[in-house]
Amino acid sequence: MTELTTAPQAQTSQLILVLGSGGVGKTSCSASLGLGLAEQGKRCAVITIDPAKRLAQALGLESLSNEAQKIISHENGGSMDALWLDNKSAFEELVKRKITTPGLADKILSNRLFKIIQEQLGGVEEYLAVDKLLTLGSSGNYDVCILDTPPSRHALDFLESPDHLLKFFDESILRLFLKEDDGEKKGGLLGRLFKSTKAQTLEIFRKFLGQNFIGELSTLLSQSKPVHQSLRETAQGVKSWVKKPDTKSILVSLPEKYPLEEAHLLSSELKAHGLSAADLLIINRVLPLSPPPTQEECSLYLGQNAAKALLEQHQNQQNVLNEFEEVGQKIANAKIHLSPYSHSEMGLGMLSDLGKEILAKWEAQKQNSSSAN
Amino acid sequence: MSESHLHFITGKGGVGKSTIAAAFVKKLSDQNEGPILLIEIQGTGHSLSILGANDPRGFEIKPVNELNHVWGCRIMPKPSFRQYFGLLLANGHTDSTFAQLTSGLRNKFVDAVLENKVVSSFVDVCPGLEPAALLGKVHFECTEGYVPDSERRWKHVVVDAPATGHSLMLFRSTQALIDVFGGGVVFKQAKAIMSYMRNKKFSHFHIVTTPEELPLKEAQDLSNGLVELNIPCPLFTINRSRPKVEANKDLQEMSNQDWKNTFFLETERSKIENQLLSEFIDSVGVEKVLNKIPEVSTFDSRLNTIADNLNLIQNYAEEEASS
Repeated sequence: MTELTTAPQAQTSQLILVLGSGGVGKTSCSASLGLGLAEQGKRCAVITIDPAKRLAQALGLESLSNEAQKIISHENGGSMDALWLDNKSAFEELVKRKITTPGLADKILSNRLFKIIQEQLGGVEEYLAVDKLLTLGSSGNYDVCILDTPPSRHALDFLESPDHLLKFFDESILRLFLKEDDGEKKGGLLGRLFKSTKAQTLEIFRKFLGQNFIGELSTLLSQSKPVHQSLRETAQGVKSWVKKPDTKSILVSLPEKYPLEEAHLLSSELKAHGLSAADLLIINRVLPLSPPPTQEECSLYLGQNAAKALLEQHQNQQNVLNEFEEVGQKIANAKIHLSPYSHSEMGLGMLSDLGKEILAKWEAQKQNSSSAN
Repeated sequence: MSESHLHFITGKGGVGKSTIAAAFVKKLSDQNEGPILLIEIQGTGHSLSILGANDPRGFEIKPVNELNHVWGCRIMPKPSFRQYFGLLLANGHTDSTFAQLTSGLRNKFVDAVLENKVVSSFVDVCPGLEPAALLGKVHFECTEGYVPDSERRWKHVVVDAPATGHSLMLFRSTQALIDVFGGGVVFKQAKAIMSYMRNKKFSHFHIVTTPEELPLKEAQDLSNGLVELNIPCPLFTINRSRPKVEANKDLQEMSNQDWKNTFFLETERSKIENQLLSEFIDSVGVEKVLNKIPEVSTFDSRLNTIADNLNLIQNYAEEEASS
């Protein structure tokens, strides 16, 4: 196999995957964790796609960039860099980087079919994130790489994204298709076409798609051949890194029904990819209201309607968390709750406090479980 | 033959679009607006389970038992092209020759085409086919679909659509098929789909958002994207808007630190929400914000409460009487 001749560079950093559905505070947790580890003296990189403006500002980032930016360095040697990818330019960058033949990249980018591919192929930005991740991980500059996994239909799609792309660009399927086509033309007889069921079905399908389509696709796929090899390397590289024993996975969720169900689904995806249960489950934005204040008391400070809504929300959180208790133990080795945090006070200090809180609670959980055993 | 009203419900992941879609269907059903078909895209929506539907598989249309005149189906992104292609071929869209065949023969043909190894692996990787097939099936139900075992057409087709970016991709890819290609059944179908989506009389777009930074931004981006495609300007439903905080007492007097922090955050959130929301409304226009649904935390009553608070786009009965 050609893959073996160009083995990907060895990954020297530890990988931490942060997984969760959209809107649960995954990116804040990833950044906080990086800041917390930096204070402990670790050199960290956090990779994310399209972060919230407020969070980027909180870290002092003016603009997104496809290069790592320094956030903080400590005297103990710890540091955190952030790589905040802008997904809009992902595909173009990918093509330009992988295709070095002069003029060819532009040819591909101007292909009309490429427009459709760009639209349809979610996963390109994921691919780019994975690709960057591998570069950072093998650079020797980082002890830990934290991947804030991209929002996608399936959170672990990023593992598959090089394969998806590869499949997409894989010519062999098309060649097969065109070969059948050529065969018919050489025969030159319509009668021959109808003799073979195979040819007949292809004819129907060609009518279905229109002739231009096939030609255009064929051109595009043969032009983008140089992309294949590097896709293979990336696919192989990320899979072997993820399976290294020191890789950690963290699920982030909210104390609500569907986000918790999604966390459950995510953990099955981890298993489907040959990973064990998550190392940590963070349940974010749990109201610290146990025991809760009375509605009268609450109303004084919030007004009657807001008080009622808040107390109902608290009750609902408690119910959902109780129901989830058993499942939670199965899907992660440790589970911690975080209280809601202030967005207006969000800044480096607050985020690194949050990071320290996560690490301390996680450590306490580990000790609990080892003393219980 | 009358066309169905199409309601496309989308929004950022996690804003509650499936709940809104379910409540929307419930409200239509309560108002005797059936027959209604609720289409869920597998992997992105869960409106059918919110309505207590039996787990539907594939493109099979099944009744939603708890509601009157409501049926549901779930489209799976991957095999949808094959199903759609089968539908088109079986309904004589591919070639006039096939239209003259008996349905049994046509089905045999569909099988022959789709079981062809070359065709089936090609379909898996070919750009543009999957999105066109997803929208194509929705379009098919609106223009040619029937209530199972009857001769009634759907009055409303409600789509619990994928999240914003993915939804926009469906339309853009379908439009790109039209721009790039000049022939073939896929091209013709893509044209028909887009013109149906652009027809204000039948197609209605709803973007669900919460009063938070990213969902509002995505809602606006999606709206702009749809307008660029000449799709009728969508209406917004603001979900989970929380009651305004009206304090009578200074927070400093609170001694319990946890409570104090929580009240502080609630107050802050209320302020931020109000500010974000008023900026959003100023920017999209107040007439575009159709619904403001309050936060409802107890799940059992949620659907009813939301349905009670939900405005349908217009009174369909009135509209039909006047037209």
